[in-house]
Amino acid sequence: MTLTSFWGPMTIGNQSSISKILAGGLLGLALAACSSTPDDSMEADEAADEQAAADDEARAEAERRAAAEAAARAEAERMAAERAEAAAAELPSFPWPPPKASTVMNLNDSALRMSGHSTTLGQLDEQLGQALSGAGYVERSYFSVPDGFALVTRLEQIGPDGTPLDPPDRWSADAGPVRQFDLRTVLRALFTANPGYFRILVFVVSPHPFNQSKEMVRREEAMEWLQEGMNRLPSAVARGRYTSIFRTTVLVYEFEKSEFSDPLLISGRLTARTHLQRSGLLPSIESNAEE
Amino acid sequence: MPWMQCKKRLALLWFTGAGFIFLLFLVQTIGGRYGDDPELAWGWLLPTLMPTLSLMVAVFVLDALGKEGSVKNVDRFIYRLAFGLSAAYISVVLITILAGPFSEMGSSTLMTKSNLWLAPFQGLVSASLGAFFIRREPA
Repeated sequence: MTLTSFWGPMTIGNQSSISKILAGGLLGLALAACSSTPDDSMEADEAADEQAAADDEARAEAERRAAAEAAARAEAERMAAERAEAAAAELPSFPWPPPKASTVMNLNDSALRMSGHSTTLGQLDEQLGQALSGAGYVERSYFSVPDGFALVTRLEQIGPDGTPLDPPDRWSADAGPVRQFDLRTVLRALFTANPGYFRILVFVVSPHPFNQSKEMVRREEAMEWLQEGMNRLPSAVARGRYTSIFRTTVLVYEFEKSEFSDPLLISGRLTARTHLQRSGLLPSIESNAEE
Repeated sequence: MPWMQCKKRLALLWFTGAGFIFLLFLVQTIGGRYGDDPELAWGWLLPTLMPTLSLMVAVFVLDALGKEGSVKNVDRFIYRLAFGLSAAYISVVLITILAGPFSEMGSSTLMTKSNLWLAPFQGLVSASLGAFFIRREPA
């Protein structure tokens, strides 16, 4: 007799071994059926489902928490940016682009950057402030410029070579009387205009390149900068990073005034480097300057 | 005192003194002492000297035209008073100009303020000169 099975035709002679296999399988199934009831199987499924649901829920909760934290971080950043903007808005704006200066120089700011550390605008301001105070510039004011600030010094009277006069003449807005009585000085005082020279320094810290406008600032306008600006840098601005894209530029506004003439902005009589050297600032704020 | 001699001395004093001051002012203006707008300085100087100079020139012209008659003498006191006041006045004007650069108030302010003392002083000088030219004794 020949049986057709899944494995192909088998002779009836193999029937006994096949029967044994089938019998063993059936026996196994029967044993398995006897050892687990239908109720146990359902409980296991339910437990697995519950575990999976719990896992899903935990995962979702973690995602929600992460999303909430990210949202909180974004909100904090937005508020910080708003505070910075508000602080910058508090600072009066310096005329931008700046009015035509007598002379200008980009400072080599390697000395201004904290070596090995990231420098903030506040730290830069502190360093500039120390240099300025050391050279006698105790009065200064702050303005905002695009993404940075401008620091303005008080008008000072200087000699023809750029050296500040001794106080009180240094801080006088008028050229004082002649105090030397050698023949040359007396003759020059009697027969020439014998003008006084006045200077205002403006340090502009900004990541943006800028040029100068063609506007010629009058001395009285420039003198008002000291009153119009703020007395210190707002903390929100001071927290800003002084990154490598920032540059510190010094603009020198030099005026000539004789007794019978209005003060005039003069152009390029001395270089900015000479102004900084004679004022005693250059050694403090940089070792090498690029003009 | 002889009228002609006194008149010449006064003329010498005034024209020399005023001439020196004008020359000084001219050099100062050319040198730029009074800036691009020297009207203020010259506006102070001209009224300070010109009235008296004009008076003297008018008298000299009248004399030259012979309309004053023959006068030979003049009162010594009046002449000395006129000469002294004139010399002092010209000196004060010169000092005001020269002291400007060394004054705390500056030249322009000093010129303006100097009218406080120069104006009455000029009145005295003009009065004394007027008396000198009017009170002449006939020959």
